Amino acid sequence: MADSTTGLPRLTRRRLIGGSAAAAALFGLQYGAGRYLMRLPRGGTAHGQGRALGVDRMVRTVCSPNCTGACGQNAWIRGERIVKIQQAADYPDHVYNPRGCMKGLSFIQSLYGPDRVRAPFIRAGARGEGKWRQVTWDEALDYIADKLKGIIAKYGADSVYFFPQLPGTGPIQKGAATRLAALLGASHGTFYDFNGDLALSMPITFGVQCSDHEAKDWANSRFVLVVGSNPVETRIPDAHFLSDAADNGARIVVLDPKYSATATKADDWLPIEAGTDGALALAMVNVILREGLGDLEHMAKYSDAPLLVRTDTRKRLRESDLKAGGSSAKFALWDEASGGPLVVGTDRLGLPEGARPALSGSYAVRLADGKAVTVRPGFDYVREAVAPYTPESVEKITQVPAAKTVKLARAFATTKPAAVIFGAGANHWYHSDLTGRAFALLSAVTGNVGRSGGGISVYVGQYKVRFDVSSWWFPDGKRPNFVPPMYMVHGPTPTMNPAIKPPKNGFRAMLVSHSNLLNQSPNLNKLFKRLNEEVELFVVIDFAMTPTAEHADVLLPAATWYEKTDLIATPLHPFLQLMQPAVPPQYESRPEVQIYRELAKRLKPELAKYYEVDEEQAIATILANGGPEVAGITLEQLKKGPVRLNVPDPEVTFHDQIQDLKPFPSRTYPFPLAATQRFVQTGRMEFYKEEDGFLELGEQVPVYKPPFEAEDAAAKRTEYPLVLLSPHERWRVHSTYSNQPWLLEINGGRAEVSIHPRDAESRHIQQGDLVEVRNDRGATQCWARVTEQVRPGTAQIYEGWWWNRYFRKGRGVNELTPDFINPTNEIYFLPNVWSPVTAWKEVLCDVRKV
Amino acid sequence: MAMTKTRRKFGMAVDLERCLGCWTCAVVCKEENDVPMGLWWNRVLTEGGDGLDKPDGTYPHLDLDYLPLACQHCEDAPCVKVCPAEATYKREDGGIVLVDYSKCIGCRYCMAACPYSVRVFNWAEPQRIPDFSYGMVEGRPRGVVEKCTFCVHRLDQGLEPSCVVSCPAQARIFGDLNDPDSPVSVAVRERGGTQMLADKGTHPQVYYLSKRRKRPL
Amino acid sequence: MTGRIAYRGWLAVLVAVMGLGFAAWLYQLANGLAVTGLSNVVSWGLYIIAFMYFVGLSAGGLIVVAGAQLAGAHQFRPLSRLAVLLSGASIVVAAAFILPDLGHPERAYRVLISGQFYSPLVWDFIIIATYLVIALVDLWLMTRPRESERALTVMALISLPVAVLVHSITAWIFGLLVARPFWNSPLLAPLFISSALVSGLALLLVVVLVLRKLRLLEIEDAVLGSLGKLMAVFIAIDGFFLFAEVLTAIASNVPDLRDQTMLLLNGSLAPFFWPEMLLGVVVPFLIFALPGLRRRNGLLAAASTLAVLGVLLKRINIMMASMSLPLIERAPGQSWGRLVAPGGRFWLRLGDYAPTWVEWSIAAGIVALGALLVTLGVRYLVRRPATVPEPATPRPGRPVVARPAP
Repeated sequence: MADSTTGLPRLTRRRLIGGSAAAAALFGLQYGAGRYLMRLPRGGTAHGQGRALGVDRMVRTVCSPNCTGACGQNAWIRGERIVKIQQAADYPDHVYNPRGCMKGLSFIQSLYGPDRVRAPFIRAGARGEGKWRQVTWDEALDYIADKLKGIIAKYGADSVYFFPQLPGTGPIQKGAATRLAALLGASHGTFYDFNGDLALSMPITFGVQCSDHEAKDWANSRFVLVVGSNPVETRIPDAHFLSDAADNGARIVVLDPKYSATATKADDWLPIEAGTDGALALAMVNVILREGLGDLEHMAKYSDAPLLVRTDTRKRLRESDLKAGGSSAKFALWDEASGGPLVVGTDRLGLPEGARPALSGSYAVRLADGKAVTVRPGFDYVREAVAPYTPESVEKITQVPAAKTVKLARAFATTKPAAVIFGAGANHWYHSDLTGRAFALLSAVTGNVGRSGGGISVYVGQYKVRFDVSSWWFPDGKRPNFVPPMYMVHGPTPTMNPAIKPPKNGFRAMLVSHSNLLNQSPNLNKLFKRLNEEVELFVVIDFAMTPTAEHADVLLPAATWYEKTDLIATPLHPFLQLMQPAVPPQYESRPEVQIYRELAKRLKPELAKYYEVDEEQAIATILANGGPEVAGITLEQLKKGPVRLNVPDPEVTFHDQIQDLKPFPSRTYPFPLAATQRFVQTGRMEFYKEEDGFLELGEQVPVYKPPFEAEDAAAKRTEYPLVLLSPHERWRVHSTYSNQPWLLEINGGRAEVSIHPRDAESRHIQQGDLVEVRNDRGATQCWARVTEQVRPGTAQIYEGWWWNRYFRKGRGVNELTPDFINPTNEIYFLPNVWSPVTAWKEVLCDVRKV
Repeated sequence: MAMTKTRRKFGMAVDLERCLGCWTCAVVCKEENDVPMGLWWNRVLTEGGDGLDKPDGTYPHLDLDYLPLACQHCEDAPCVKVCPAEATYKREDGGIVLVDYSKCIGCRYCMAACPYSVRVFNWAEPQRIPDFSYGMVEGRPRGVVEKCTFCVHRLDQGLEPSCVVSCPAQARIFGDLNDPDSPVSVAVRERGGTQMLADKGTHPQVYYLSKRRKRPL
Repeated sequence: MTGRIAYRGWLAVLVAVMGLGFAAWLYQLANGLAVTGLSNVVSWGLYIIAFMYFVGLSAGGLIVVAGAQLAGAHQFRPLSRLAVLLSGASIVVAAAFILPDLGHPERAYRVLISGQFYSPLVWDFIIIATYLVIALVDLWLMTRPRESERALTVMALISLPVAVLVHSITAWIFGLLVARPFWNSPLLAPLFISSALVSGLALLLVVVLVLRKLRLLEIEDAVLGSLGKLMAVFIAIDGFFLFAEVLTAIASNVPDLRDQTMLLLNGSLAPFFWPEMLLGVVVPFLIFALPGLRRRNGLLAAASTLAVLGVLLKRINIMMASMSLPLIERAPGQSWGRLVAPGGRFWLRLGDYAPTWVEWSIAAGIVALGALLVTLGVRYLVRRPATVPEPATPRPGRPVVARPAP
């Protein structure tokens, strides 16, 4: 319709609608026609989602890095390759399913990743230069054998140092190295001590290598005191038992200078001055004794509390003191019923019928020689020692408010059962033995030792061997010359235990397998000096191109736990499991049994017969001779799945002592009982130590000694005001998985030093800045992580990062860590049981912006 | 009374009390689903400060939680609505949100539309370490969007998603939300499961179970 | 002749830039979108910014022309061919920007013919295709030997709602996303239309001024003047909408929305936002609004150029304000999306984005394509003698366009 004035069509509503309709029609036509032509169904087609892929077979094996979690894993194989690793989740005790963490699940990246050592190599340039000559196995083995023969002839067999970390995580394969060292009379490393994870307080107090309840027993606890331990981060497969405990009504309290992952889950977190945990434990005991909350009957029955100590010699009163011809292995208590000393045996715990032992006071005793001496019950010394540690005085040390300490002590003493989880944060100190003894005392004085849901459990390391492996490790009863590596780094000390025999002519050859020694040793610069001055042959057997492997003279490709057979059992979950090859050794890798067999043959043809067994035969032998824990378990059973060791359920250390009055200690494998019985000659928990070494240092009973005494004396605190802590991080097992590509994506892939904003600000450091961390031992460069998570006054570098890749400069945090040897660690020597413990956290440093 | 068999609606409950922040769910997801380098279907975020595992607050008054995050499989999924190619769709059985990679045109509209930022795109030719196809499903080509499928290939075999069976903290519960007696329904009901960004009206089929009340000394 | 050389040179430059863009696209096809600066956080960038920008340029011109046709505002008649040409070229450019953004461009046709109906992107694909058809038909009609007024009016009737829809739907691509509060506003479509009017008309002005300067087009100052007045109104409306939007966002107390808005006001986008406000809104408004300034061609050209660029900044801001902050803003963030060397930037919590050379090249190539279309269109369509119902005789020897009807 045309507009009468312009002659143009007018815009009317109808036209507008019409136009719009035409547009809509166009739209619809296109759409409809297209849909018709394409005949596409609405909704997706199954194939488009990504086709499910099948696998050809599945093999169950055991993840066996140095976390010692020993998680059962299934490897799924398509064609020739493992395409997925996932927890087997087949433990008959379902609370352990699924067991395994992201590190283990990522192992296909280790198996087939770019850092896999794929062939034998001999160094072609200077050490660590990265120039290699790829060789055949025969060439490599001949080369090693030739060198070793020369070194043995020139310096003696003890100058050859075997370092197969860690035998407990693969007793057959790693034991093959120990076996050869024993046959050759060579020296052999120790690990539990060197890794700082041996809690010396355990052999001191209980006479055992380690005290630990199986992880599921946490759930039976009603109060869990976590001391310097971070299971949420470092015991991932077991951490849920803390949640279970909480579900069951337990209260969880964490003692840690930093706000750890475990602290986030706790009912209460007590931020504490680093290295002062022992003082807090003593203050708790102080409160408990003062308020009469202790279980002194427990102390009297199971500990040395009632045993009398002569005030003149400060040694225990023995039967031989009291009567001529008496035993020096029998001790006496003061019986208030009879008003005189009463001799007790060491073959059984508990108290003689009708005895009422005194736990305090001084008593006069006439000795067999007629001399009158004053004696006091051991516990009287303990009480006296603990008296000064009032919550108020300890507050100055720990910075934990006295009122909080009192609350903690009361809650711990009155909630039964109460458990102590004792971790690396408390154990990696020069005086960690004292700290551990104080917490052991806390556990004992509240009657928690040997009780389900109670006890003091050390979950640092956990390398203890669960069954007798002597038949494999120590052929014909021969043993290698165990030398703690700390003496290699530090050199001998004046107080060194005479049982330790460092190689007479130095460490001339080292056979390091599955160990990243040159990343994970304290005071690395010192070790490098020793390596370069003394070691003529440095052989590394590993599956990953670690900084240690980079420095090898000969590098041999090792098989992983998906490529070999072994027999595994670790403490946190007491199951015996079979490591089984899911695939044959990939590339040119070989299992250790095969490597040492070849080496033995070349070194001494007469040794060949010791290796004329395969892994399954070795396992059968061990099962047959492994002791009561494995009695009756067969290889066939193990092939079907994990089998629980013959231990009580739940497994509670010292169960036999508390329930059946069996004397301390329980056996520590692979040593005979006698080897550890001497540590606690009373057959009881010992809180009073009469050995001269303790007496000289004033450490006969648990006391608190502050950290950094040496540095403080040298006024180094002003130069290095920050405490440098190097805890474990969830992304690595020590240095293993440092290089795992998936994990590097998550964690950022570079070493960082965490410092509190206050400390960062005063140093003009901002998040992400490149900084140098230094002290007198060394300096290293990494990146600043400024966070409230860490305590002001502390700096924190998670240990384990490969220094050659993830630090900007230097050899990482272990340039700064110390090689101190505490003389108490040398009072006895038993490899991995009583041996120098590394004080990783006894470090001062300063941080500055680069 | 005649029983009418209701359609399944798969759902998950994530227990924030039990979550350890370990990323095992994320890693097993990557492995199970052949997810290449650079991409994550499943993440564990830190509810706290400005970095991974950094707490919120001032020492010693600190707070930190973990927040596992993957596709929420919304009932009213914004990604499904916006996908121009019908590549993203809601499968009737189980009500899971899936991507038909053969239809995806790679416009990334779904990524813009997803309130949870859980979709990722194959920007480059997928690179894998190790350099072969691992896991239990075929990998995706370059140029398409991908995300959590609730391990649909496992569901179809009667198995639970890998992140559920592999969680070492046993923090994930999976099942049929339409079955009032399924463990996931019970957990959501009894522990007051909440949905993320509920105000967006997307009705996620993933629920979060809150942390317990703490009992300080 | 210098004009001829300049013309050919200009064409050569355009073809060269298109060649560069095409080569860059081939490179991107070979290597994937990893060669862009995009990531799993900022998953849309230059291509989509340019897409919405050119849709705006396109819609704006046509709305003015169609509106004028229907309203009987004949003084704009001389501009209609040019406006339609610019619209057509812009919509081609806009559509072309979609292709390099796609991970699978070879599958794009499916959307057009069998898309998922609920997706605003499908509506947009279809409306754009429709719109392109309309522009072509319109151009064809306008360049027929005998121009049919009736047909043009019918086309105007169709094209006006389509032009409004084109930009509304483009706005709804963003505005219907509940995930992104900065976009999820009922004002987004009106805002897109107001910006489209500003940028589309400003572009028309710029081109007209350029062509007039090159003596390729004859147009009267009065027409320019009324366009300028119209510009002032459009800018005022656009500025008002923007103010309303930002004010509401700041006052909302919705954390995401406020954070994203604050990015503009004093965050990483402030260097884009304040120039947008000052140079893209305030300055051009003053020039267009004040007759004394408006009448000076230099200033008019400057103001138009500023308005065109101002709206480009606005598109950048609309995109980046929403894309920069991950929606679940918690550490470590969203993955960047590529294989990254250890220690490198893997996680993003604040999505920063800068286009790479590939994106710039492809964008330049596509814009050159548009410029080529306009150049050829001006030569072969716009400057063709036109026949209006009452034919006007072209003056010999001069470039001729339609003159306003008496």
